[in-house]
Amino acid sequence: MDIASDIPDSTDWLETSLKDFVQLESALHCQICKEFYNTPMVTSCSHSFCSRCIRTSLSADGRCPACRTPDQASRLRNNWALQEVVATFLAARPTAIRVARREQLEAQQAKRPGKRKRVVAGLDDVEEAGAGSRTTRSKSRKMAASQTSNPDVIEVDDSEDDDAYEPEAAADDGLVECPLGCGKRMKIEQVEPHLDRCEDEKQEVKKLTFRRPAQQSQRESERQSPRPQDRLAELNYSLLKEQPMRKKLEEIGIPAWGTKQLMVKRHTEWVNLWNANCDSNLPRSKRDLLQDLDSWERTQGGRAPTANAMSTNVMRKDFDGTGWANKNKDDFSRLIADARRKKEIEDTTSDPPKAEVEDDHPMPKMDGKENGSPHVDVPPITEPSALDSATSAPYADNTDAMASIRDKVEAANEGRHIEPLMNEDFRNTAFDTTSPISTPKHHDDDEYEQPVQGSQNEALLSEGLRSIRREVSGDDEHTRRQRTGSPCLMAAHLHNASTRQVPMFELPSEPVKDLDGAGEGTHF
Amino acid sequence: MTAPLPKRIIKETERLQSEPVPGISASPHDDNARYFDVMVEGPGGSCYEGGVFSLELFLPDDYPMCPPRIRFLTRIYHPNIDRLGRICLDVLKNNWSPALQIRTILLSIQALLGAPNPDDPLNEAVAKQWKARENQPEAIKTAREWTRLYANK
Repeated sequence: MDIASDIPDSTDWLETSLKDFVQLESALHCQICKEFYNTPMVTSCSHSFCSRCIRTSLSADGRCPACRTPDQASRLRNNWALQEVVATFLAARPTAIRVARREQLEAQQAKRPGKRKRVVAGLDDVEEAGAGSRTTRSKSRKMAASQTSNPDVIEVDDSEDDDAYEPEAAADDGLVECPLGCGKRMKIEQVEPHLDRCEDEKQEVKKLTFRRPAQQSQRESERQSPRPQDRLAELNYSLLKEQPMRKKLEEIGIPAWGTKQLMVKRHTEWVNLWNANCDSNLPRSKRDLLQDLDSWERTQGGRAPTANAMSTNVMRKDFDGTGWANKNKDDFSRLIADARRKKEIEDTTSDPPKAEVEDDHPMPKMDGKENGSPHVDVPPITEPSALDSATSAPYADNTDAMASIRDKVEAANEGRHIEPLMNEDFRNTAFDTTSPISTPKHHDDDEYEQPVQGSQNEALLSEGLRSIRREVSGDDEHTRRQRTGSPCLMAAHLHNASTRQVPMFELPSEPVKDLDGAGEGTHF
Repeated sequence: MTAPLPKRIIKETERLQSEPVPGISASPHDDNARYFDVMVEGPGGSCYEGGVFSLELFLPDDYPMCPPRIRFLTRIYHPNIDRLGRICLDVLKNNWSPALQIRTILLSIQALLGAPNPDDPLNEAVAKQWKARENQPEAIKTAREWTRLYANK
């Protein structure tokens, strides 16, 4: 069919005769993953989310995503009613949407009388479908369910039977319900011992009462597979040293390599996976869970590809700046030479508008960012755009802006001082207010204030880069920084005497291009 | 190894395209579905009215457990947006919740344009200008000027 049918979405109902179902279906979606609730859990603030989602969220944040009330994973409770609603809705959905679409089609055809006849003749059950969706929503859903031969469909009657079964039994057997609300019924003298192992028994109750709607055969196979029973406790990681932590991981049978930080992350992930599986009425085997953990490991854990091999290198504490400078000396010199040559060739006045425009130009494509690493140390957001600056000038048509820019450039090159339309911090001491170089810079200044990179690294970086700087002139350094993605310290950059002699908008566009091109490899 | 694109991102993208928010557009890059080009119109009645601001938005791997990274590409004179286009907005930081989404975040940003908050500034200088009563008309004028200069359609 169409693309939308690949991923069921509430908007699928928009093009049908059942437009109200958009809201119905969105109401059955978890706010976190935007999919149908999978083992919904209710928080102590009475919001519902998928077990896995809310556990991950709580371990990251400790607050309910909906209302920001602090909460704990141990206080989550299953929302079985919601789960059943989702299951029945999902079962009825394909037929319902098919019928609703067909009716919509019929309605459209009806507006064109010439075609109507043909359609009615072509589709045998159009009339029938039309009749169904003219009735109430629930009726049409029932009808949809009954029309299908799909064995997945759970008849509404069945689940009603289930609901009815429990209270009746309760009335007859003279038992009392577990005061902890696990749903288990027992003789009154059994309550006391039961309280101690309520959690365990809860699993059994779950199996007995709530798995009934599932297919018989599936249930059998599930019983045979090893089912995890006990929820894992969250650990107080700050109290655990590396070795005990490693032991703990080995005990529960998950990989125990890596730093403590990584082990903590892995353990958190595992606890969430495991406990969410305990919540589920169709738990999977430990092997499946380990596979999930492995895919986590490869995408977000210890085996995740580093976002930028070079940047992580540079960010390392023991980064050997001098060695790095020596190793790449050839490259640097070549780039410097390129930049110098370019500078000689370039006509100073032809460049300025581009330089200015660059600020507002969308970033070049973030090559390789889709590699999916969690450690996006240098995310696209902060990468300065230089790639397209020479080839596109989105403001070229804007005469006002261009005129104003040209004025500024002229003024700057003649040494006049124009009051920039700029805020005060351009006059802070790190800037030379008379130096025109500070005015046009906007996003170009990224390097010295990389928003995502830890400031604690800047000192180290500057240490490592100092040796490089010795042989690099002002603007070359600038471009080289773009390549390494490392922060460029503003003060050093702007105080460099040679910078001031560069005409305001002189931009080494050619070398920048080269650098970026060469830099692509460095992302991975 | 490429992290699988979560369904949530696909759904959000689809919804942004099929039911766009008025005055806001967000389209993913072809080669990186986590990276969006965003256009936000300045809200009517504000000093950014008539401007179309471009932003970039990136969904990190642990999205939706952590907020999207977002920043203005267009220059803007605003007490909560600094020279690098970074935005000071609670929901992008501490108050992020996985129940939020791209759509709601962009709406918050548009609302921030309509209601600058100089009491919690990111750009001290602009905020100072904005806060001082006698300077405020001046600040608003500058904001208009910048909108005309940089955020033209």
